[in-house]
Amino acid sequence: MNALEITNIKVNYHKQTVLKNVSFNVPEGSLTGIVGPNGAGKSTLIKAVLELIPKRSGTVKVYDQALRQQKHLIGYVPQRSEVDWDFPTNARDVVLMGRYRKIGFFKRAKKRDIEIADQCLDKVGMLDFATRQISQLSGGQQQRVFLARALAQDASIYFMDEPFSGVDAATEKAIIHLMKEWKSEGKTVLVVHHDLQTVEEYFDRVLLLNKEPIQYGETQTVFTMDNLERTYGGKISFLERATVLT
Amino acid sequence: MFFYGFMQRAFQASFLISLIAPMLGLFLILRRQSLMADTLSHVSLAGVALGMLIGVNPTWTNIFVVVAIAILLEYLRMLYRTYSEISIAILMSGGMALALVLMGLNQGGATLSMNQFLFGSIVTISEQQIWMLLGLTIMIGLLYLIFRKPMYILTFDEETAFTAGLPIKTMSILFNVLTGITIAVIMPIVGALLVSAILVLPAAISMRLSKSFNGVIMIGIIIALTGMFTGLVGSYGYGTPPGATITLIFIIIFGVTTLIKKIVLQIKRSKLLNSKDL
Repeated sequence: MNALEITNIKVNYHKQTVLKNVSFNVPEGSLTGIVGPNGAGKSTLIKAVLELIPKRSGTVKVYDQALRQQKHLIGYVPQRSEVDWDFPTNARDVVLMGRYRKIGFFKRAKKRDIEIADQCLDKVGMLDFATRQISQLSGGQQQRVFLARALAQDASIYFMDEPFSGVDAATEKAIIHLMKEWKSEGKTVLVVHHDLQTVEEYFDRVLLLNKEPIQYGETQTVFTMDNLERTYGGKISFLERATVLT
Repeated sequence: MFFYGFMQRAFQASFLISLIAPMLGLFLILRRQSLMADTLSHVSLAGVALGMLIGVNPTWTNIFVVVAIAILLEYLRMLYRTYSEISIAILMSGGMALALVLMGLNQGGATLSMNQFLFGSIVTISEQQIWMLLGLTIMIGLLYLIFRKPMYILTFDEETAFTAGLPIKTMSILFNVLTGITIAVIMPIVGALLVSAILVLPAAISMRLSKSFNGVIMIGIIIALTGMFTGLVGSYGYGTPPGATITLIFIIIFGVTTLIKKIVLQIKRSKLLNSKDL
């Protein structure tokens, strides 16, 4: 069963086309990496799918229904840099933000919700930092707070925008662990990713993108040197080339 | 001083403004909209000038014009996402220009009244203004209690708020409208040129003192009350414009708290170093 059906997405920015002809289906319970060079439109694609930026054309179906009717199934983990980390709040309150769809936006969080928030923080190794002001956390810890918030959301489809960017080894491990856990629970995960060396290890499906889809399918089939050359236009580094070939 | 009716009303107004300012100010700062308050105050001058020109109570024309511009600002913010200050620049200068043109068309006694709106006047606060301010304070207080969580999420992370199903556009417009109404109501008291400072400074100072959301607002209210009351007394004593006096008091508080914070940090650091040496 397809969790997501994306058809013919096109995005323009100031009359310039930055993304076109994007059509692909994402099976339920898959881990999909969206890979491509800088400026390929990877984050733009996620944002257009989630209607965070306007699309020129295209449709998105979530479990066969329009996205607007299925928003409660969506969890979004933005890039860390898109949020003001000087915001006067602590880690637990950020995680609770993920619970408010379930609590109700106009209701107070109950003891049970706070317990759930703490469990989520514990799962990513951040319980000791629950009352820490978020600006006092390291980049990796901030990313883990975001993960805990996504966990608290308990969504069916997760969109993650460069979650591995600038994080420490412990955080990377926590992200991978969580992604695999979500997959085992039948949840669907789409991740904007830039590190070619880890693609095969992390994802079972890959979308190679450079302003339009170059190839999409199972990682084993799609993640080939030939397709990467087509995606990156020959700008692939020696190290990355060696990794893919081995 | 407290036996004069106008001073009593000035203190009543200051008390109410002190309750409103940190709530709105904190959201304005966190939403990177501190300058929006300044823009709306410039535009509100056009509202006042329009009222004077057509012979309608300036407060009402002011509210009407400011609300319309507050909605337009949100539209422009969406349109110029990457250069959001463009909308501020256009509307700030446009509002001021329109106010000057309307004043020019209304030859006569408008200049004196206009001065009152530019610099504020505690002598002219009417009973009606106090009631209006009280209504506004109750409304903002209630809206804060009801919308605190959604606004908090929207302000922290607009994109996630949208994917979580919050009506972010409507909420943003309502927030702008509420800021506009507040500016229109308190502008005659503190003056158009400094109304944004009075809204933003208490929250800006308290953000340096507390790291929790409620803490910032509570400390902000205390700072606002201190600054407003001291400013009023100073304004009465020295015959200086109230808005300017209050703003200067806030800036002094800002300087003093920054200095104290630095000293405390220095003491903590040296204590830590000493304990390590031992």
